[in-house]
Amino acid sequence: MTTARHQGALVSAGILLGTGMGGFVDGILLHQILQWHNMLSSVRPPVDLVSMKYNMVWDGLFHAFTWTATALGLSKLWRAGARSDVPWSGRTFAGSLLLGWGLFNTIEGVVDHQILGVHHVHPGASELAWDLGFIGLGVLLIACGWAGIRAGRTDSTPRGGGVAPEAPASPTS
Amino acid sequence: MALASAPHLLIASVSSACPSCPVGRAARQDVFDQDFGTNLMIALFPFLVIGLVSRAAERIGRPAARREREEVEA
Repeated sequence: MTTARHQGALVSAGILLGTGMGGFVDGILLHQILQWHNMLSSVRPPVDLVSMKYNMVWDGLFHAFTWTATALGLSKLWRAGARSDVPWSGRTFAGSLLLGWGLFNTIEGVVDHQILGVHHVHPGASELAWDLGFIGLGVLLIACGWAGIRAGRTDSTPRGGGVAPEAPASPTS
Repeated sequence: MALASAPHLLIASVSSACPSCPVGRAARQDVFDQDFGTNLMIALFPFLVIGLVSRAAERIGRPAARREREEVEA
């Protein structure tokens, strides 16, 4: 029986895919649907059409980077699935997705919101509380993701390893 | 009333969405001003850091990394 121990290939793919999924939640939900902020909305508030279009371009570039992270993650996941030394663990993969999303929230929250101040989650009277909540969610996701990856360390079955190959159809008459 | 203003709304929406209208040109000019490189780095930074983390994570469970850990533990 094959024992797959190279968990890192799946973790690496999951981190990128989690970053992509988290980035799209930020971009689609907070930038576009709720319109709480844009990429550079604290530098150039979208109060007229030119400023709105300016922020729209930077939101588009942000989405382009998010798409690239997702595409790279998919590529890595595809390659990981083809290897017999990679354990195909749902716990590891789900943990990696959460870790990627949490890393994105934490890094983006600390750098863009707190250090550079290019935008805030929900600008206004209680923007610091919203910003800290965003970072707090990131840290929580990192902790949950880490726990998932640790729990998946005991999984050692490669992709398709637990499923018997389909038997060829036998002639009945 | 609504019908009377409909052509006006249509013209306004077409002109504001055009790729070479004055508003669009002004926005693009502002995007590609002297701060373009800085803003690009700001937008890209979280992805670069996470890319490095993802690359480092590939080592988890590799035979060489396992051996190193087992040696340290021993």
